[in-house]
Amino acid sequence: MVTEYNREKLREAADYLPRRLREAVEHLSPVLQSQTEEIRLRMGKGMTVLAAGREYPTGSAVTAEDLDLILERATQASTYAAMEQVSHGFVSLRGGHRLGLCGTGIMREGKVSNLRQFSSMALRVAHQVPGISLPFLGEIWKGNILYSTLILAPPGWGKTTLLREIVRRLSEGEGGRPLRVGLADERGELAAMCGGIPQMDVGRHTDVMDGCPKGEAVLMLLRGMSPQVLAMDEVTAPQDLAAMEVAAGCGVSLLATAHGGSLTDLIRRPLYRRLLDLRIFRCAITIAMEGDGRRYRVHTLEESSC
Amino acid sequence: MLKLLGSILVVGSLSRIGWEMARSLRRRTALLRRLIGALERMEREVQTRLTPLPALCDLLSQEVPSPLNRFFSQCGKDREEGFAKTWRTSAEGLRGSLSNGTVDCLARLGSSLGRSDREGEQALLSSTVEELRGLLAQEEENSLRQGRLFGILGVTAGFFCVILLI
Repeated sequence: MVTEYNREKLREAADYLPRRLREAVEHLSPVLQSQTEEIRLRMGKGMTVLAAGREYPTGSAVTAEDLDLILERATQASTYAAMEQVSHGFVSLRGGHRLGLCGTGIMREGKVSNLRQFSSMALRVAHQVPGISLPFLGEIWKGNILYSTLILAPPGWGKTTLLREIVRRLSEGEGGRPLRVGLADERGELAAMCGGIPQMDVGRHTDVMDGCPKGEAVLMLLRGMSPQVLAMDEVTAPQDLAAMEVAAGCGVSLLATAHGGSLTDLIRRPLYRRLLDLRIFRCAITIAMEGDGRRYRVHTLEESSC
Repeated sequence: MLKLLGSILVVGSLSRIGWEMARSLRRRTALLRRLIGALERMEREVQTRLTPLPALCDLLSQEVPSPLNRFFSQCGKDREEGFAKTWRTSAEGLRGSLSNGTVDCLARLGSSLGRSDREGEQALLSSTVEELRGLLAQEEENSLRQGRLFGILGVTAGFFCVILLI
């Protein structure tokens, strides 16, 4: 059933491709389809699919017109509506998928305001894998208490998928009492909201702030939705840190993800070192790739002050 | 008596043709006015709510009369050939209902629509609306002038035919 679900999600993502490339994806073996995590498109080179850490060729060369059409579909032919995301190098798609963009930056007042002349794209397929958090959830969730936890892994290793599954289980009360979860979904990848309805299952007791900067979303959720847990993806900016400080000060448990290969990695980077210094998180979950699967490990950080 | 009836029919028919031609000019002008209104609505939606183009086209297709509603409805659908080409092809379908100048202006808009930031889109739509307003002023003047002419010609042609036949 998971296999069929993954293939369905791949078909949904492939709808953004031109017909010729879409057909190449449809001709992949069912096994590869179910394992595909990303579709990689590089201008002038053959399209590849990424599965279990390896890229598999599909034999179809990518043209500039292909990339233009994919971007047009992703932005609904409305660059102005997706400008904020495009300037950050990605576009969130219906169904929770994400299109990563690589091209020439257009600078304005020292910041990237837009991208042009796209050279490559990465279409990340949204996956929901119910049950992946089963083995270790008991270590971070005891009774009514969730220990504030940071999920740590390099890009593309499944942090978002894991975070979503933990949120779902907390919200559904699978393993304890259901908790009210506030989700700051800045990039629209966690819940994939469409018409006010999450397209990914994030649980019945989850409230989603979609498309807002994390800092502001956290404050709005705290003010209006009285969450017991606040979850957010990819802590990358000082504003995210400030928002987490406020939340922790209100007695709310936090769940967040961060890029990094290990805890040592966190300590080396100033933003994340500060994260550890604030002692907001009690636990960290690291993800390691092993063979065709992933291994999750829970680390206890120093006692949190809240 | 029969001759009188026949004369009335001939005059009436040719007058009717003249009036219909005048009415067609007025309809074209009214349609252009509605098109301008739709593009102004588009400009406002882009400026205030950043509504994506397909949703905008769907919205507008419900607010404008035929054949503009078909134009916007077609543009709102995802096509393999891309938005710009779909817009241009759909605009071609309006020839006959709108003047060639109007259709060309509308078709040119499709080549650039959706490719800029909010300010760029607003400027693009604003300049297109300005151009269409210029065309509207010309067409209103034509409609008035030619409409009267067609009306008079229709009646005159009718009487002329009656005289010839009698």
